[in-house]
Amino acid sequence: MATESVKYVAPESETKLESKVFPRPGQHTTGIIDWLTTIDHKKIGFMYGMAALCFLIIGGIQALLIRSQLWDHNMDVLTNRQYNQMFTMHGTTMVFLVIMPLSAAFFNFVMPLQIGARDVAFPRMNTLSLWCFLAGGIILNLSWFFTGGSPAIGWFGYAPLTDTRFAEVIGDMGPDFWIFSLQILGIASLLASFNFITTIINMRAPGMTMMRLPVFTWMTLIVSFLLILAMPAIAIALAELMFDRQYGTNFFDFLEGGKPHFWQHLFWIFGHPEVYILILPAMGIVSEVIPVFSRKPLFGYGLIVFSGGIIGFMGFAVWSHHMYTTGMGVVATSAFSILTMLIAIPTGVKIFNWIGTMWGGRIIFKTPMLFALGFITMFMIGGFTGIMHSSVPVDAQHQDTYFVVAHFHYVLIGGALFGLYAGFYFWLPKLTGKILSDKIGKLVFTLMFIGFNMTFFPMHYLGMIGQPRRTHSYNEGHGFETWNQIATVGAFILGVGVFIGFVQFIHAFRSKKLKPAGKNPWDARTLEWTLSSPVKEYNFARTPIVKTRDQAWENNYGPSDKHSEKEPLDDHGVHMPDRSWTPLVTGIGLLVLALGLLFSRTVNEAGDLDRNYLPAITGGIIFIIGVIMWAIEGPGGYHLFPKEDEE
Amino acid sequence: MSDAHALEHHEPVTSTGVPNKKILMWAFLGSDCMFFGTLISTHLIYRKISATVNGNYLDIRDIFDIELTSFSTFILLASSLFMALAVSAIHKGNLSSTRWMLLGTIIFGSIFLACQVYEFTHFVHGKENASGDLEHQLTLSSYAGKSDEPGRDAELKPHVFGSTFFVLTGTHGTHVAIGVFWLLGWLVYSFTGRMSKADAMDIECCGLYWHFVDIVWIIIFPVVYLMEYAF
Amino acid sequence: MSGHSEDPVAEESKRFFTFFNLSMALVAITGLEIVIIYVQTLDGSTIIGTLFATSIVKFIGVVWWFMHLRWDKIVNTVLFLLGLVIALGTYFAVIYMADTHPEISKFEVSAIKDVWKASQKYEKDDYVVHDGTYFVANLKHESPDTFSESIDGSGDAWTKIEQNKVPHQFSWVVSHGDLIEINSQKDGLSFFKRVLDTEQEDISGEKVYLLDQEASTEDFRIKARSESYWTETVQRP
Repeated sequence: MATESVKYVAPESETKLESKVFPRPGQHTTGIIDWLTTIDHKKIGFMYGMAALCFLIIGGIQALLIRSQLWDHNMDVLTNRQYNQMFTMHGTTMVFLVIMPLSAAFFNFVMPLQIGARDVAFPRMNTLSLWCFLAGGIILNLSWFFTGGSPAIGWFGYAPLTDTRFAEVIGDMGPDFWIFSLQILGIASLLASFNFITTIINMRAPGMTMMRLPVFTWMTLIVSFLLILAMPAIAIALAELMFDRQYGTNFFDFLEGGKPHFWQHLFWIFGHPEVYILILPAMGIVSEVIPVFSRKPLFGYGLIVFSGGIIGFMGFAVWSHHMYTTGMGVVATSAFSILTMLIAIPTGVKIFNWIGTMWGGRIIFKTPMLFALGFITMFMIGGFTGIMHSSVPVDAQHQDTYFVVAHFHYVLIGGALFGLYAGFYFWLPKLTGKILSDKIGKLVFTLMFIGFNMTFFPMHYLGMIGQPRRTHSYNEGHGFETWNQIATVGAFILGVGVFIGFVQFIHAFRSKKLKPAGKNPWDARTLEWTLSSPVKEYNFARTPIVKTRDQAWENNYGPSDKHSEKEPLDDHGVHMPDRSWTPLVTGIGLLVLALGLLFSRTVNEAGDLDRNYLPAITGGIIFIIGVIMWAIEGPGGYHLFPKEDEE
Repeated sequence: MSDAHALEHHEPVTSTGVPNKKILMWAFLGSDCMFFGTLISTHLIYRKISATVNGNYLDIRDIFDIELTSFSTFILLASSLFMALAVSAIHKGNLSSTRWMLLGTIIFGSIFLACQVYEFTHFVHGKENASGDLEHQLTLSSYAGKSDEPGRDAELKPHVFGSTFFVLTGTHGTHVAIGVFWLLGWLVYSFTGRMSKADAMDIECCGLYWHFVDIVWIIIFPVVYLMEYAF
Repeated sequence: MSGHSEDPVAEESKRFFTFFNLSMALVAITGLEIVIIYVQTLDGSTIIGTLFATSIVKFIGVVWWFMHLRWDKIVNTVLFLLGLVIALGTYFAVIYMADTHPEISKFEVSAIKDVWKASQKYEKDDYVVHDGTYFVANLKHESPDTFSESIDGSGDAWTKIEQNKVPHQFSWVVSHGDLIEINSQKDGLSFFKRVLDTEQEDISGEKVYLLDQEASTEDFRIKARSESYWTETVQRP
């Protein structure tokens, strides 16, 4: 019967649905197979996060190598080419393999809980996103081992440097690895975004209207829209570049009618929304943390949401501010300059609203709040330098100097990374069920804050006195050495801080000694804090009926008519889908397809170009098999009957 | 995709009342607008600024065969009608009609693809003039105009029109091919005895995709083919 | 399933005729597009405009009826329009910006120093200098043995140029543009002329202007504009 309550994992409670074409791994799968076949958004979020943290370490090491090379004039830590490879890989890794997946980790784990859903709309597609992300990371890092090594073209891959005509090493495959890895990462982002959009629009608990959504969920929605509209531009640009390199088309080959300038347009049509994709999740996290640690509701919820939407929409209208010095002409340049200045307005609105939230509140200086405060201040500095760039004559001075490097690291580390670390400290208790040490957290924050500012603040000055970007070494006599050394020391301090944080996060999962977190250790405000920590497999024992924004807070402190209710559990209980092999098979198919295309060209003994598509076709067939299995395997699944208080 | 009937009691309740799959498909089509927007604008830009490349002046009217392309346009329009009727039929639960309409869509879609393939191979191969020399070829990377003396094929010289043309229409053709495979899957499934009215939403999503591919062609045909005769 | 609760079978049966009629309309419009191409009398922009309009009509027809937006919930339309509007906006901007710089392949200014000679054929508007004074020819003639402002039987052959004005030959070749201006960069010499104000390709111009003092190419600047670009040549000594 509906109220028959049985233990969560008792086999006799399992009621299978009707017969399937072939079996999917079921309720009692454990171990490695559980991780390979899971379709649970919480596990997927966890894997995204862990993989991204590993890439953070890798990208960080690349940064430290760059900083070591720049310690003094004319050093030889790295050769010219290695230096170019280092900043290319550092940039590509940090943008695509760290910040975006960390954001995806939080979207995956937190958003369904915040809207009262049991999972995302398309759980298997969610898993496929994860495997595509890992495939993309693998492909990019495979580049180290093949002809030419890693790409040395910058994370933005400007034509015509990417033309095979200008390859420094004959047969350099670095750019090809870069192209294919970004394409697969693009597929990962697109699939995840379609999933999140459908989930947020369609799977909200009863009473969870759009204007009651937590700001973090709103940011998930806006970022997902940005992704689905921006990624096609770069997908096409990369495809055109691939055709140029592999099949001799002339899209960006200026000698044969192409326009390298056009690559810049396409790249930045993607690239500018991309930077909002990088920052909006962190802004969403900060919008969750600040109210909790100020013991006050968010000030100006509607404005924050609306500003986020405006930033997203206008983000598509400003891309050419990355191209002011390319000679586009007065009309275009001025138009983009004005639009860029305008986009500072909604950003400023958000900052005022966060300050307004803290005003009159009772601030609790725990680690998540420290990172959130760090975000606000550091992002503001980055924002100010950004507004400086928006003026065309000023940008003509800044372009290609360290001033720009300072700007974007302030917004990306001081902004995005600090925001994401705030999210880690805030939500890891929910994910692991344990309270992390606040002392160590504060140590991590202190090291990161000091190290980060030591590294990047001097770069404003270095840029203004003329140190150029992306340059392997500098000569004596410019006066660059002192501040570069300070920056390098700072970078190592930042690295230590990041690493200690990384260790602390891993330790939180494995430690037996940390105190249990309970449902709501921070006395926080949103729905996920009504659940136990760690969250049960089924999320909500009963679907909540939401009456207001900040439902968890209102349940604890609000009048009883604003308390949430619960839908009764019906005869069928909570339907849990089985796990599935199909996303993994499909993902492997895509990986083999990409590798097959990458390695499809060889030169035979006669010196002629041979094309062998067999590996690529194999990959394609595996992919198609995966998709067909996906289509016909049926939902499978089992039912659970948790007690009402077993959330 | 076919698990709708597995939950024999109800479709999951959604906040908007629109099934998840449909929301997904519309979001995807919105995204695909950017995809094709990039390709079409690439073509328009290069067409405007690169008519002559290193003295190699291209007049694509020598190569295009508007009759063939018009024919394939009408074919695609007809396939769209069949698709709409297929969706209609499955909503009514009329399996036999659905099967025929799906078959019609597949056949007309395949004819379109065949015309595209024919067009591409003929562009690449070129035309033979009175003296038997090849001229008016368009490849991915080059273009050959008129042959300058009898006994000599026209010389293929680098040009950008072929790049943009083939990649744009090729991407569209790939979308059509994926659609044809998808429809074939449904056609096969319709013979297994498991198809029912509950699958209507899946077929409708397939229909949305197919119609989108049709409207992309509605844009491509005038912008890529017809415009060359006017401008 | 499509967001409505009436009897689905009857609804769908009604729609059959809508679909069929729409199909026929699409075919007819496409036929019209093809006919317009073959008709030679309309000029380029009209054809483009018509094609544009017919494409939009067909687009809307398919999206609104075949794709069911008319009968569905508004969220579907919103999702699609988001993508469409951003794509159109972005790519119209990109196409507008994809213009080429006008190329100024020649720009020369030189003072006319042709000395009057006897037995020389002169055309109307030729400039000569004779004894330190400049003259412009009024008509085509062959010069007699001695210089005189009027020629027997032909009227005034030469008109004297204002004192102190020196004729200069300006010539330029510009690839394309919609505005060309020439102005002086020399202190004490003021000169400004807009020599083109409509869009034109393959512009080459030659004109004689009278200046207050002798000058040459380095003293001037020519600026050619094309849509979103401004290009200028600046001569450096």
